Amino acid sequence: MTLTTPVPRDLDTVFPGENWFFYWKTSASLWRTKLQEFPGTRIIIPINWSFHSETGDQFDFEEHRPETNLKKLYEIATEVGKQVVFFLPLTPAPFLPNGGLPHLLARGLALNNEQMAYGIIDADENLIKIYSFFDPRVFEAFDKFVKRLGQYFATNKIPADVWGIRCGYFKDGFFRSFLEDTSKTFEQAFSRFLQGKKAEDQTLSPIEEKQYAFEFNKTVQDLYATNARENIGSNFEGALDVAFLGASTAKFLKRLSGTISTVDYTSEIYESLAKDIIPSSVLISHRLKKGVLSRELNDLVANSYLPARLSANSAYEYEDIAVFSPLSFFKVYEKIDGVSSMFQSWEQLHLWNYLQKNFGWSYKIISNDTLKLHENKNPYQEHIHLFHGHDVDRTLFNFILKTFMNGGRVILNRSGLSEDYSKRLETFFLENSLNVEKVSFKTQIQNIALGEGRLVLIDGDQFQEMDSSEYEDFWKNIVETFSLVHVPIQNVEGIDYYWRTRPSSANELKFEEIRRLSLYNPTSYRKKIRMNLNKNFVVYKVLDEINVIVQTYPNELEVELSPEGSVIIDFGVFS
Amino acid sequence: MKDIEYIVGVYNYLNAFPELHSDSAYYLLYLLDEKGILDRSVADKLYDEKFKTDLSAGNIHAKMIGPFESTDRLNQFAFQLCEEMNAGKVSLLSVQEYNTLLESTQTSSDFHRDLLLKGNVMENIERKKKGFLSRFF
Repeated sequence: MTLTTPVPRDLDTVFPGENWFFYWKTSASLWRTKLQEFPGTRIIIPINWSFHSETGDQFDFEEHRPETNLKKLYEIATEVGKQVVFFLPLTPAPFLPNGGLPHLLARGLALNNEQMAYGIIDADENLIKIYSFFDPRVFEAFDKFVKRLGQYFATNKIPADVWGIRCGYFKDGFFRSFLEDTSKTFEQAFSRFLQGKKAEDQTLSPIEEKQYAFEFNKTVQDLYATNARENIGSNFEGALDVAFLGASTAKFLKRLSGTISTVDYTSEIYESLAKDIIPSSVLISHRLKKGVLSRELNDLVANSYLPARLSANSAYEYEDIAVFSPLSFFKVYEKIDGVSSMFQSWEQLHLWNYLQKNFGWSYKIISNDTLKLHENKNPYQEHIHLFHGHDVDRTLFNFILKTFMNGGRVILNRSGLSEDYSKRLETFFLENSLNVEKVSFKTQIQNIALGEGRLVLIDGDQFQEMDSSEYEDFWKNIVETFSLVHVPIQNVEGIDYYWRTRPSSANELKFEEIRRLSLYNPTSYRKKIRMNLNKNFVVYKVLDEINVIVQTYPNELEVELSPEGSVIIDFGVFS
Repeated sequence: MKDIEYIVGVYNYLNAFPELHSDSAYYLLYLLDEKGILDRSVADKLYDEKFKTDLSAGNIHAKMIGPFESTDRLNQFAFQLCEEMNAGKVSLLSVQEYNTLLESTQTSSDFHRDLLLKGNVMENIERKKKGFLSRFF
C-alpha cells in the first residue's frame, strides 16, 4: 500500500521541518532549485528580523542583499506551485541567533521561571541565547520593523498570509512562552507596571503579585501581537502558539551530553496537539528525525494538523470528508492565570493517567484563551467537558449551562466553586424542575439530566485517601456512564499512537464515521498490540506499513511492530 | 552500579511557597551526569533519608530537591550523592553562575565543558583511592 503522506527527500538545513524554509541559509540564486525540489505544496517562511536589520533601525528588504528580497522569494515560490505562508515571531524565536533580535538589541539575557537563562541548541548544534523582550528599546525596534515590513508587503502587493507565532516549549506538561522573563529587565518593567496598579504604600500578597505578573506578561504579549496586526494589516491572519520540541532547559541539558533520542521528543508532539499548539521540530537535526519520528511529524503535523490550523481561523471544519481531524472524547478545561495551578488540579485527581491509559491522546485541553475556539462549533464529535469549580467565572458558568442545555455533557468538580455559583446552580435546578440524583462513590456525586444533556457534579475536596488506581477506578466508573464508542488498545506501553476521525463519504455510507489509528514504535524493542473489536468497529484499510505485521481475526486485531515500525489503520465505525 | 564520571548540579535560593509565608532556602533544580539528566531515584532517597527537615513539603519534591537551609548542607548532600553513585566528582553551580557562564560561552561544547570546570567542584577521593589501589589488588 503506497504512502499516504509525501516524505521530503531533501534533508537540507534550509528545510528544517514541517515545510519551513529558512531563506537566509542559502543563496537567493538557489531558491528556485530548492523550492522546486521540495515535495510539499505549502511553504512556511519564518521572517528573520535580525537578517533584515542588524541594528534595529536600518532595514534591508532587497536594498543590499538579494537574500532579503521577500517579494522575489514569494514570486519564485508561487511560480513553482507552492502556497506561501509567512510566520512572524512575536516573541523570542529559538531557531534564530539571539532569539531573532538584531545584535545591537541583544543586551539582557532573559531568564525562565527558574531564573535560569534560556539555552537552546539548534539543528546545526549552534548555541542560541534568548534576550528579554521587556526592554522598551526592543519593543520600539519591533514596532519600527513591523511598520517597515507592513509597508513592504503593501507596496509590493504580496498577498500571502502572515501569522504571528508565539514561540515556546513544554515543561512539566505546561506550555511556556519564551517571552516569559524573570530577569532584572523584566523586574524593572514590571515595577513600572505595578506603580499604575497599586497605591504607593500598598503591599501585595504573593498571590496578588503572581496575578499581576501574569497580567503584565499577557499585556506585553498582546502588545507585540497588536502591533504586528495593526502594521501588517490585511495580510495578518492571527497568532499561533508554536511549541519547539526539545527547547526546554531539561532537554537542552540532555542535548549537551549528546544522549537525546527520539522518545525524548514524541510526547511533546502529542501534548502540543492536545492543547491546540503547533509542534515544531526545526531545532532537531535531520539525523535524529530519520525513521519513526519523521513519520510522526509528517503524518500528524506537517500534512494534517498544520494545514488545518492555517486554513481556518478556528478549530477544524468537521464536515470535510477528505480531512481527518484529531479524535477527542474529552475537553478538559484548565485556566491559565498564573495562580490556578495552586488549587486542585486534574493531575492531583489522576485524570491524565486515566485518560492516557484508556484513550491515549484523544482529549483536548482548553484554556480561557482557547475557549472561544471550541465554542459554537457544530459538534461532529460529542465531547465530555470537564471543569474545576475554582475556575468558574461568569463566562465559564454561562458556557457550562449553555452546553448542558444544548444536550452537551459536563463534569464539574465543585472544588473551589464559589458560594454564589453554587447557589445559582441550585436555583437553576429548582427553576427547571430538574431531578438531582445523588450517589456516594469515593466522593459525593450528583447527576442531573436534561434531554440529552448531562451534568455530573463531583466533590473533589471530599475524596478519601486514595492511590492512583483507585482514582482511575473512579474515573472509569464515571466515564462508563456516558457510553463512549471507543476501542481500547492492549499492551500499548511504549507505543506512540494517535486517533483521528472524519465523516464517511458517499460510498462509505454503511459507516457512520471513519476513524484512523496511527501507530508508531519509537523503541528499540519489538512490540505487539491487540485490540478487541466490538460490534461498532471493523478494519476498513491498512496503510503505510513499515516493519509491521498486521493480523486480523474475528473481533480482534493484532499488530506487531518492529523497532521504528509504523502503520496506519482505518476503521469503519457503526453507532 | 556503573561508574559515573561526574555530576553537575544547578541550584537556586528561593521561596518555594510565598503564599504560605514559607522561608527561602536552597533547592537543586537540575542534576546531570555525562549521559544527560541524572536519574533522580538515588538523590530523592538520599534526601528523604538524611536531609529532610521540617521545612520540606511533599509537593515540591517532584520538581526540585530540597529545601536545604544552607549551602553547607547543599554541599554535603551533593558530596554524599557523589559517593552513593560512585561518581568521580560533583560540580555545583548557582543559577547566577550558570547564567554568567551561558552568557560568556559561544558554543554548546564549551558550555558543557565549563559546567563541570567552573562550578564548585568536589572530588570523590575515595573513588580515586579505590581506583589507585585496584592496580595492586
